[in-house]
Amino acid sequence: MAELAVRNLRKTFDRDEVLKGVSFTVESGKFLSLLGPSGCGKSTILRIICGLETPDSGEVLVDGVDVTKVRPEKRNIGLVFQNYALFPSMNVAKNVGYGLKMQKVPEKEINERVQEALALVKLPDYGSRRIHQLSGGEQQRIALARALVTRPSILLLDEPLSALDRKVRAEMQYEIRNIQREIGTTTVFVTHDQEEALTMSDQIILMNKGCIEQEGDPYAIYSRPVSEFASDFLGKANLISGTLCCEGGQWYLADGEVRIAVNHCGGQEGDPVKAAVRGEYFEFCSPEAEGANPFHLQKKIFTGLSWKLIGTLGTQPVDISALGISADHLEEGAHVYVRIRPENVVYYNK
Amino acid sequence: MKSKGFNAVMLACLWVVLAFMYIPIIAIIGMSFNATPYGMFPYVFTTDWYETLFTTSNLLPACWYSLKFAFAVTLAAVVIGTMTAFGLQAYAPKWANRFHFVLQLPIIIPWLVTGISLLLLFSFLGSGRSVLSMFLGNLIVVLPYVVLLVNGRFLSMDRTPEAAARLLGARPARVFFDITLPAIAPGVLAGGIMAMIMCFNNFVVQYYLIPIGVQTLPTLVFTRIRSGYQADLNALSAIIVLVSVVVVILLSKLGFSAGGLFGMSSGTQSKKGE
Repeated sequence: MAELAVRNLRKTFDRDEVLKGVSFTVESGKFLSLLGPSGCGKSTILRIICGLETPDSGEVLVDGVDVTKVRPEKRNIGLVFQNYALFPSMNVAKNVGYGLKMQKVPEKEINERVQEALALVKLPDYGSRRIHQLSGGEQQRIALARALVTRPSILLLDEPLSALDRKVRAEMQYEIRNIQREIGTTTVFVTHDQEEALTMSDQIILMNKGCIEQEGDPYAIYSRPVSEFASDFLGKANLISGTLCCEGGQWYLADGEVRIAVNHCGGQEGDPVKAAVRGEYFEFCSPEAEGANPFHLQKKIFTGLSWKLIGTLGTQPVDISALGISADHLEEGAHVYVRIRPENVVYYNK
Repeated sequence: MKSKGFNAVMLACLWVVLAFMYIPIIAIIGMSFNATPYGMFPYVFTTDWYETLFTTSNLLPACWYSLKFAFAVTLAAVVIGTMTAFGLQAYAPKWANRFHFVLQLPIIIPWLVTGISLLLLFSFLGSGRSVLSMFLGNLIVVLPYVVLLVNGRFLSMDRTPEAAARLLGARPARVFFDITLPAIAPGVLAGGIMAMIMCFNNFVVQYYLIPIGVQTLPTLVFTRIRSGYQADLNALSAIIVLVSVVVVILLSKLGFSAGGLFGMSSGTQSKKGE
């Protein structure tokens, strides 16, 4: 257990600036996700933290001690790779025990701790199996056991679930979080899957093009995205453009017959703005209701949990997601009215 | 394309090619048991040539010498070649490709040319025709093959387990022996076999650089053919064929096919090597 901090990390590969001064802190025992599209620099941060990569400038602090120049084998930071990186020439027990062997732990203790670690990942009798006999999910668990058995100060996970199928992935999300809570290791998790980041983390850092776009807990980051990029990357919000106006102390975004009430957060009347509204924040209402806007339904797609309703709000395209019961009766081509609460709308100056 | 006639023709071609490759090999085994040395009939069975080979013939000592010599060269080539290939991975792809090109050149240049230039070089350096010169000369000839075969293995292997081992506390040298070497072993083995065969065979370079008073098998065979053919050579050839067959069988028992080792299989044959 340790507190991890990175200060002002910069890294350039072949004139391509991958990290442009990234700083953050993870409190001891917390679970942080680095979320972002591929190429945003999140994996590079991980490789710098564990020492496989050296930053051009900036530092990595573990419990306040600068480890930036420490060799990777001396850091005791665990990393689970995207492709698991198990040793194909060794069996499962040898894989898991490798770190302990390097620490010159006595043979007997190695065996005990390997058994414990295998029990922790729920594969207790797998010690003598060969790596190529394991499924993807099992390999993932072994890789996790191998990274945890040395009791690292910090655990890093580099998109560890991306190669698994959906069902196993959901299971592993839950399990990784449980194990992490149980042993309390400070964890940094890299992913490009927003759902994964939202379900697993205490804290999320959203990255874009080598910079931190937004930082916060999952709820805050989902419900109050600070930029167009953030709103689009986390759960694909609808972006509605219009101009800002004020009537009787209430601020609106107006575009033709569409008027969406917003809570004022900067900007003046007449400013062109873009509002981000998540599909699930629309609710159906009567034409006379306060804040009602016309929605023309063009296409209706069933996604299992909900309906995806594709259509236009005024003249602008929006996707509304609605639970089964509220949208079952709607026909394609229908004209209905929807409204949005001001607290569910964020807008950005264009 | 799938007509019966076409398939039959193709099959016939295959058998002709195989026959072309194997008839000489089988013929020499048959001749090693024939009383007349030049493959003439009537065929009279005898083991005399084997007796000569193991008693009075000077072929056997030369063969042993060649084997020991080839083994020494192979050992050096495998160690140096593997290290070179390993080092090559540290270069950016652009430079690694250039280096790769430089390595291919000695393979293309005829040995005749290499032999002469080596003789000139070693004469200039003062070692002239000597065992050392012959050793270095053969090493230079086989080294590119080892590097290319091991390098191929590096390019197809997953390098992340090495990073994983370092993060688990292994020093770089430890990582090399624990993780890297097992992964590239098939390439190293292929390079070694290649080096051994080429060095055992390499008449041209040995002929130029061999000192007086030393005979390797290829140079001895050359001298003997000029002075009069004797069929104990057939007996030795038959034994060499037998040994080669045993080596190929052993390799396939270990899970390697010779083609797979040299990267020539379609990928379905070499399972264990992966």
